[in-house]
Amino acid sequence: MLHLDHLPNSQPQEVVKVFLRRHWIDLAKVFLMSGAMLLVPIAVFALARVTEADIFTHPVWGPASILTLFSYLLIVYCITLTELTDYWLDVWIVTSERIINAEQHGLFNRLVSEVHHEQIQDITSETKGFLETFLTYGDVYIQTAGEKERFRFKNVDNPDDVKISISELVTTCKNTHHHDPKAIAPGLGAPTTSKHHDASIKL
Amino acid sequence: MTSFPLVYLLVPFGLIVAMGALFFVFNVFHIQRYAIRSSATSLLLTVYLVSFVVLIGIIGVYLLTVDWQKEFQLNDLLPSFISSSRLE
Repeated sequence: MLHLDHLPNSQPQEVVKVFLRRHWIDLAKVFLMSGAMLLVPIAVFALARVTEADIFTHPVWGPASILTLFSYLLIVYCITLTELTDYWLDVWIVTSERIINAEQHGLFNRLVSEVHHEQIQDITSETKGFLETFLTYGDVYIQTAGEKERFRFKNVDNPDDVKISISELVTTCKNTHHHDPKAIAPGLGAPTTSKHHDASIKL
Repeated sequence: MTSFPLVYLLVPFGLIVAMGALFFVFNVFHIQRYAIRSSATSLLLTVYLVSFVVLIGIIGVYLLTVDWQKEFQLNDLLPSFISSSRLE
């Protein structure tokens, strides 16, 4: 597991400032989808009752129907579990020195990239749609000078506040490294073991 | 007439359960390896484990109630479950 206190390649003075996951609405959509899928066997059962089809007491069709039902429940369970894992593993970590973007795409596709604040050129927040406006969530786009040109924080809570926080951090970082020639260059420095994130950050 | 034991129904079902178990293991592996260490992650893993055990437990309890060695013939597959009152 990843420790917020022991991020890879962290610098001694590096502190985690913002920790983000996707908005809870994405999780709600997963459970809504699973709930809808679970309605199918209920509907089939209700139909069997209405048509008085005595399928469950049949010596062959009874066990076959129950096994089919269990198979369907297992499939719905696996889909829900995979979507939940996908949600949980999408994280964005903003420290005093860099931004780490970790995204899970399905079960066997993970993308982790990072950009130092000095490489950030532009930050944009976007809230589009009725639900996004009402629940205040949206996307934050970060234009960089790195290999990955654009980072996207997908469906994060309060994207405007996130944009302002990152903007302030970028300004501070650029001013610090511009004025202090003794500042450690990005990418150097061993991982530290001291507590480096606010207790107020909710994981 | 050729007869088949009910246990033949468990073969495709067993494959599906095996796939489900594999998916469960993959998900737990990914959380263990890539998630941020926190009490919420530990709770999530606990929920995963408990839900999987409960689901497999329910399936197991049902499997114990059926006599899988009982044999059936192809004639038995005819829709005799439609009640006679509907046919009249």
